[in-house]
Amino acid sequence: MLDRSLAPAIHEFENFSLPQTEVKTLANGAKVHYLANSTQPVLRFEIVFPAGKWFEKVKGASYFTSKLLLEGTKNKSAKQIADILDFYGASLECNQGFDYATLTLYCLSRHFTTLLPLVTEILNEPAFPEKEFELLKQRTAQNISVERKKPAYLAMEHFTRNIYGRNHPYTSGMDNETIGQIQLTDIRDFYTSQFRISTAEIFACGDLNPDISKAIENLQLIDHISITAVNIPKHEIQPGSLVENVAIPGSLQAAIRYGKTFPLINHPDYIKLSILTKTLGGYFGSRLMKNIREDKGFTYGIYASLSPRKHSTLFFIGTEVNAAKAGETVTEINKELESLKNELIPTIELRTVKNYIIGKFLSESNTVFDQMDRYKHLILYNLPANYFTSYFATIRSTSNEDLKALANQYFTEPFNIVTAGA
Amino acid sequence: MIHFEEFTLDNGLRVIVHEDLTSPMAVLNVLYNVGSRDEAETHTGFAHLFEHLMFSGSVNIPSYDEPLQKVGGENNAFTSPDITNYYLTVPAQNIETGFWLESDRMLGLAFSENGLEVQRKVVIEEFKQNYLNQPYGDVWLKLRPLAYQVHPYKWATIGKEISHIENAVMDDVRAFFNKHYSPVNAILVVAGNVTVAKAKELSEKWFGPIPSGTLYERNIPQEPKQTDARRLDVYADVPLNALYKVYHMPARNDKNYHSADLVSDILGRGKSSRLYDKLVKEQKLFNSISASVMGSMEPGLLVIQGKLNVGVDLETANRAIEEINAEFMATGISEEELTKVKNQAETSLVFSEIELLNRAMMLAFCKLLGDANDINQESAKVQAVTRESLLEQARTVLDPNNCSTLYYHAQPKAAEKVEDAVEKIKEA
Repeated sequence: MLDRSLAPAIHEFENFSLPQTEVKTLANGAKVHYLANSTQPVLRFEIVFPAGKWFEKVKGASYFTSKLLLEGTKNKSAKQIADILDFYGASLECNQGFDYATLTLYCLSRHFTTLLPLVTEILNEPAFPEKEFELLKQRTAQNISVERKKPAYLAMEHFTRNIYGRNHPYTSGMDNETIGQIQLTDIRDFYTSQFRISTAEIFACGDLNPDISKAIENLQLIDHISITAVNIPKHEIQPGSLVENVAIPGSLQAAIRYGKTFPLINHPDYIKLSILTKTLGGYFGSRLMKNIREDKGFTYGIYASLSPRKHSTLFFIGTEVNAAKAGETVTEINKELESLKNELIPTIELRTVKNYIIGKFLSESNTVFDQMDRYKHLILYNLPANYFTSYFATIRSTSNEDLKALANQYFTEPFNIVTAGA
Repeated sequence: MIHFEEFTLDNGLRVIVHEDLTSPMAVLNVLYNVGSRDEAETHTGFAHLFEHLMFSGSVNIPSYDEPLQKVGGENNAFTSPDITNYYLTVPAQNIETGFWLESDRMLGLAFSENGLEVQRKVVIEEFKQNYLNQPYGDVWLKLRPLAYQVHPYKWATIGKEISHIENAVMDDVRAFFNKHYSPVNAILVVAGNVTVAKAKELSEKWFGPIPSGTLYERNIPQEPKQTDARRLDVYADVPLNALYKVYHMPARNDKNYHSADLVSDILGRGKSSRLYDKLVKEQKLFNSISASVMGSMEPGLLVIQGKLNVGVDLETANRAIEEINAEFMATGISEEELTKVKNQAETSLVFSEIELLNRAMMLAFCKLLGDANDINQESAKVQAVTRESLLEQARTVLDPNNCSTLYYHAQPKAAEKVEDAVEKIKEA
């Protein structure tokens, strides 16, 4: 007779090991990283430029340059570009973030060599048409006006503003003033100085073959200026108020953001801090979820996370709670932080967190795209090739004493707290 | 080609096994043949609330999540108008823990009063977060009852109103479990690094002893054919006017489904599509516009939705869409345009098969539709669409009398602010 109250035996499972990548440096200075896997006839081709917000001289330059790249070349209109991509069922986007801008092509591998010349044309001869620029500015302003109706957006904007300062590139959001001031010349300047192939990292993964590698290695991408080094600007942090309430009359919920900056990703404490953050609010069984959702029912979800950027790491807790329970939620968050400082995490809980982290890592490294993302992370954050080996070793070896000591070292005042709600 | 084997346990549980020995992971996907269409109109939102309760402990195991996390696994679930689907991913060595957990909650729940009380609150917060406290969040709460007058697709899965969730009691929970949660009403998919033999052995061991339950016979009213255009005007504190047009279209299993699906792609998939090119780029009436289909098991909806540029009037925008539809219905499409949407559909299919979990979910859904092997027929069905079949569907589906339109008006206060902002940009 089956005894259903007994759990099946728990088996150890292996760590992740990154499949072999191949690297080539091209004549134009760009590095190409290949990861081959022909399970599906698909391909992802990415060119990563040091063209995130960090490099802006004029606010908004990174966003508008990235978006406008696809809106026309010397010889093709935005519509003609869209027609070609859609005809082959492909997608081409340029997305930017705090540190980088990435041009990404997804397609069936058999169409890749047909589509590559379009990528070259877009990068070498963008037209940045005035008409498309005006339309894009209008769409962006309107989209932001919609975003600003969302409590979570407002909370994050004010939270990062209070941590980094209004003009710091790591502050979220965009305002109408930025959109009003940016000019086409700013876009052209940003393109010329930041979208340079000699400073790019290229990542190609999926169903590769010799024709595809040959096409990539023959890419005729040009730099418009001849300086070789990337000039990395400096930005000063200008903190604002520690506690802020953003009034949203009539809001049924309050969005809370609670946190501070943490050490950079290459700091010796970083991996252990990621375990601490998971324990606090990084999975369904975390302390915050158990307390605020599963015990009190104040929210649909609450999380704590580490958001690493090149020059800063943001630790923050985020949630949207019943408007009447915002104060009580903050009190409970404080209690959970104190508890991690004052008491050892029970061994069984720590084991669960560690296994969850490793299992989740494995399941998010399953496809060739996931695996390339793992590898890309090492390249873009300058992490050593054996990083994942030491990552897993650290996860396995970290003790609850280590975590208590870290909680006392890092969960310290001042924290920034923003509540956006009625 | 997705390989799989299937068998049925003595208690009626249908099992599909998809081996993928290249993955270190294993997946269990349990689909229950119940969705919000099976609710009573006075108890809407219940199938989804019930889904939450499936995580509040089962008959022999007090916590569902903890034992799974302990072995490196993760799980979630979703409820739709058609189905409720539970899934977990775990390092393959520990797949038996998944069988233990999933089978116990098919056998019986803890029916904890406290669990119900907490999950009512959680779902109410979910309702607020996603439907009431977001700009345009209530669109489907308004659109469904406009498009469907009889069929239970007329309410959203989250529920018609918060009070229905507040009023749910434990007797309802027990009755719902007994009616819908049993082997004969479920489909189990085992996928990943598990052999067919092992999957069979574990299915027999853990699910085999569960009483089969009573086969649920769905008997819900069918929606009569819509014969007149419908319209609803809504006023809300949002920055931009928005327009939503929905058209009744064939069910997922209907022979005309793929033609109608491609009609939506011609209209509004991507930047080269007709609506985007004409209305966003040329006429500059819309800030964004797209078209898609719901893909529901019973006759569903083709949806056109867009936000308008500031200063554009909803009637003008609506007329512009109607004109594009009319031209489509009059002249059809070129061979090149057909090839384009087929290529787009093919790419989507290939990309959707990359994730192991996705393959498992699609197998379960195809099995519920009638044949798991339909997963391997999709591409051929898309390729079989002709210019003629597509035009015929365009003429049937896009008939203005088959349309319900939601005019979502930005309340003046909010709209003014955006106009100011846009003015500022022009001046600068």
